[in-house]
Amino acid sequence: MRAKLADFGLPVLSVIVFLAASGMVFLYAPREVTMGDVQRIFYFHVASAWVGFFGFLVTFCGSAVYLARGAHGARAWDILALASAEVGLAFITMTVLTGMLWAKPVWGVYWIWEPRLTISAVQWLLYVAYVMLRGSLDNPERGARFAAVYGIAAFMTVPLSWFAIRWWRTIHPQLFSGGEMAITPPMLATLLVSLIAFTVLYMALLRARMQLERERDHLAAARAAKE
Amino acid sequence: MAIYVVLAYSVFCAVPFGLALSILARRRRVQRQLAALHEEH
Repeated sequence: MRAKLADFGLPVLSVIVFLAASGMVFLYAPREVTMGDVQRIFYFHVASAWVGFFGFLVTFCGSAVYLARGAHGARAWDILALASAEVGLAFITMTVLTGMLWAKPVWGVYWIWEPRLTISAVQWLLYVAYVMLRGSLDNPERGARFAAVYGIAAFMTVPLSWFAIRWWRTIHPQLFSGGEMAITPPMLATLLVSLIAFTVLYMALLRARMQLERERDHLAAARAAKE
Repeated sequence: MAIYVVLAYSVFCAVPFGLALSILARRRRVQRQLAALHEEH
C-alpha cells in the first residue's frame, strides 16, 4: 500500500512542485536589469546542476559501499549507484543544454572552451560512457565492480567543476562570491523552490529507475531457475 | 531573447519527461517478459 502510494504520489508531487516553481520563475521573480528575461533560465539551470551533482555524489557513495561490502549482498548499493548516475546524467544534460541557450544571447556564442564549460563537457562524456558501459558488460558482477571504481573516479569532476570558477580565470557567473550571494531575496526564494522541485523530480525518477533494475534482476533469476 | 527562454524551458520539460517515459517503457518490456515466463510454467 505504501509502495503504491509512493509510486503514484512522488510523480504527482514532482509535477505540482515543478508547476509551482515555474509560476515563481515567470510571475514572482523580478526581471533582471542587465540580462532581461533570459536570466530566468538561471533558476532551473542552477537547480538542475546542483541536483545532477547530488546524483553523482549518490553514485559515488553507492559505488564506495558496494566495493567496501564486496559483491555479495551489496547489489542494492550497485542499483542505487547505477540509477543515480542515469538520472544525474539527465539533469546535467539539461544544465549543459540550457547553459548554451543562456550563453548565446548573453555571451554572443553558444559555447566557449573556458574551464567550467570544458569540465562540464568532460563530465557529461564520462557519465554517458558510464551508462553505456553498464549496458554492455556481459559479466554482471565484474561489470558492477568495474563500474563502481569508474563511478568513484568520475565523481572527481564534481568538485573540479565547483571550484573551476574559483580557481581559474573564467567568464562563467558566480552565485557565491566572498561569502555573499549575488541575487535578491525574491530571486533566492525562486531558486530554492526550483531546487526543491528538481530534488523531488530526482527522487521520483531515481525510484522508478531502481524498480526497473530490481525487475530486471527478478527476470534474470526467473530465467536462471528455468534453465 | 524570449525564444531562448522558451527553448530552455522546453528542455527542462522534455528531458525528465523523456527519461520517465523511457523507464516506463523498459519496465513494461521486463514485466511482459516476466509474465510470459510465468505463463510457460
